[in-house]
Amino acid sequence: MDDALVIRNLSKSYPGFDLRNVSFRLPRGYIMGLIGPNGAGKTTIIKLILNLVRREGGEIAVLGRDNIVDETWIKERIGFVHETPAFYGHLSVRRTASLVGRFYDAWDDGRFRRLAGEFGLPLDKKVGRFSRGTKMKLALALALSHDAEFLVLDEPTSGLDPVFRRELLATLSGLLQDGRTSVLFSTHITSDLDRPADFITFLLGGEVVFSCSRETLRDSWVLVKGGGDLLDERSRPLFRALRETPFGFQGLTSRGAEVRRLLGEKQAAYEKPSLDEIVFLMSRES
Amino acid sequence: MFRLIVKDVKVVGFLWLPALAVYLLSISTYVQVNLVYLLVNVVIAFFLVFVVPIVEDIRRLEPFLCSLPVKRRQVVGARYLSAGLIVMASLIVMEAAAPLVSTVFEIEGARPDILLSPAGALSFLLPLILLLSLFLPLYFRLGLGKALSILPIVILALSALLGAAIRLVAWLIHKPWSVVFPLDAEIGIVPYKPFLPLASRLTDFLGRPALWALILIAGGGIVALSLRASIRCYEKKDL
Repeated sequence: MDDALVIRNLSKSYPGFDLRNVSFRLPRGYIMGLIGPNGAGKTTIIKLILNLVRREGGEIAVLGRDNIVDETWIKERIGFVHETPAFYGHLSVRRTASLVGRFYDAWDDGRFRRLAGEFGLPLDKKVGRFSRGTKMKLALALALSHDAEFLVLDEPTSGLDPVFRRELLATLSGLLQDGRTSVLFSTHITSDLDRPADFITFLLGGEVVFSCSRETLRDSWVLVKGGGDLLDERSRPLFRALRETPFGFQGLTSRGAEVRRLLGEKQAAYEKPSLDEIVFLMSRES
Repeated sequence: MFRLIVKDVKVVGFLWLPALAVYLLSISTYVQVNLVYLLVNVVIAFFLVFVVPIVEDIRRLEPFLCSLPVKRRQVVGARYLSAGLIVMASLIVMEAAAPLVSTVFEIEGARPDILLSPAGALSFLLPLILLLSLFLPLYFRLGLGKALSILPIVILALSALLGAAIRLVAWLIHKPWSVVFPLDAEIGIVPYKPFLPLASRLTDFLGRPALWALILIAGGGIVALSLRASIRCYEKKDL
C-alpha cells in the first residue's frame, strides 16, 4: 500500500512554539483527521506540507515525492483549503475560477460549475461580498475541480452551517470511492471526524500524542470512572490523563488491562472513550 | 511564470483605462516643468508596480498564491518581469503624453522634446531601476507594509550615496563640485543636465557605444543582484 503522505521527524520552531519530531503517515485512499486544540501545530504542519513555511528538520513526502524538490508536481495534485480562505474580493466567482484554473493542467471547468451549483455559489457575484462560510464553499469547489489526488483541508468546517457541514463530510466520503484520493482534514471539532476519518493524528503542544487508525484508537484507550479513593501512587501513573472532582475521577489510559487488574472490575466503570473525551482529557492534562 | 503575469493583468485589468484618463488629466498640471513631470511619472510608475501587491497584501493572499502550483522563485521572477513591463509601458506613456497633453491643452513653454530623447528616457529608467532594485528585496523579505515604512530611509540613503559620489569625483579631479554636478535653474527644463558633464567625460573616455554598453551592463547587473537577493529572501520567508 503506497502512501499519500509520509512525515518523518518534522521540526519547526517559532518564538514560544516548537513542533518537535512529528512523524505520521497516511496511506493512499484514506481520510486522516488531524486534531488538537488551538495552537497544537495543525496549521503549521499543513503549511509545512505545502511549503508555505520552511521546515528546520525532517522529511515530508507527498504522493511519494519530496515536497520541496517536487513542489510544483505535488501542488498540481493537491487541493488545498485554507482555514481563512482569501480571494480577490472584486472578482466574481467565475473570474476567480478562471484565474485559479489557469494554474492547473487538470482543471475541469465543467466540474467547477457543477460544484458551484451544488454549493449554491452565484457565478457572477463578487467574492468580497461572501460570508466566511460561502468563501469556504468556494475554496472547496476550487480544490475539488482539478482532479486532486490529495486534499489538504485546514479547518474546512469552521464557519459552515450544519447542513453544509454534513453535506461536505458526505462529499469527502464520496470522493474516496475511487480509491486514489486521500484527505488530510484538520479540525478542533472532533465530531466532524466521527464518521469519515479512517485515521486520527492527535497533536498537543507541537508533538504527536498518537497517530493510528480509528479501530486501533477505539481498542487501545479506556475511560475509567470511579471514586477518588481508588487513586493512589500505584494507580495514578497508569493514566495518561486524569480529571478529579469531589465526586470521583475520570481517567484515560492506554493500559486498560493493568488498570483493571489493579482497581478491579466492580469498583470502577470502564468505557470506550469518544474522540471528544480523549481530546478533552488530554488537552486538559497538558 | 507567464500564468502569474496573466493573473496580475486579470486582477487589475479593469483599472487601466480609467487610470490612464485620470493620469492624462492630472499630468497636464506638471507638463510645463520637465523635472516635476519626470518625478511625478517616476512616482506613478513605482506605485503602479505595486498595485497588485497592495491588493494581495490587503486581502492576505500570499498563502493562497503560494499554495498554487508555482515555485517561490517563479513568483519573484514574475513580479520582476511585470515590474519591467510596467516600467516600459510607463515610459512609453510618459513620452507620448507630454507632447499630447501640451498640444491638447495648449500649454505654452512646454518642452516635451527634451524628455523625448535617450537621455530623457534614461533619466526616467535609471532612478526607477535603482529604486525598484532596492525596494523589491525588502518587499519580499519584510512584506509590503514594513518595506514601505522604510522606503523614505532607502531614498535618503540613495541621495546621500549620490552626494558622496559627486564629492568624491570632485575631489579626485580637483574641480569644484558645481562643475562635476552643475545644479541650476535650468534643471527644471533639462532634468538630466547635472549628469551631462559626467556623461561627456565618459563618452570622451570610452566612446558612445561602450558607454551605452556600460549603462546596460550596470543596469542589468543591479537588477540581477536584486533578483537574486529577492529570491533568497522569499524562499526563506514563512507565510
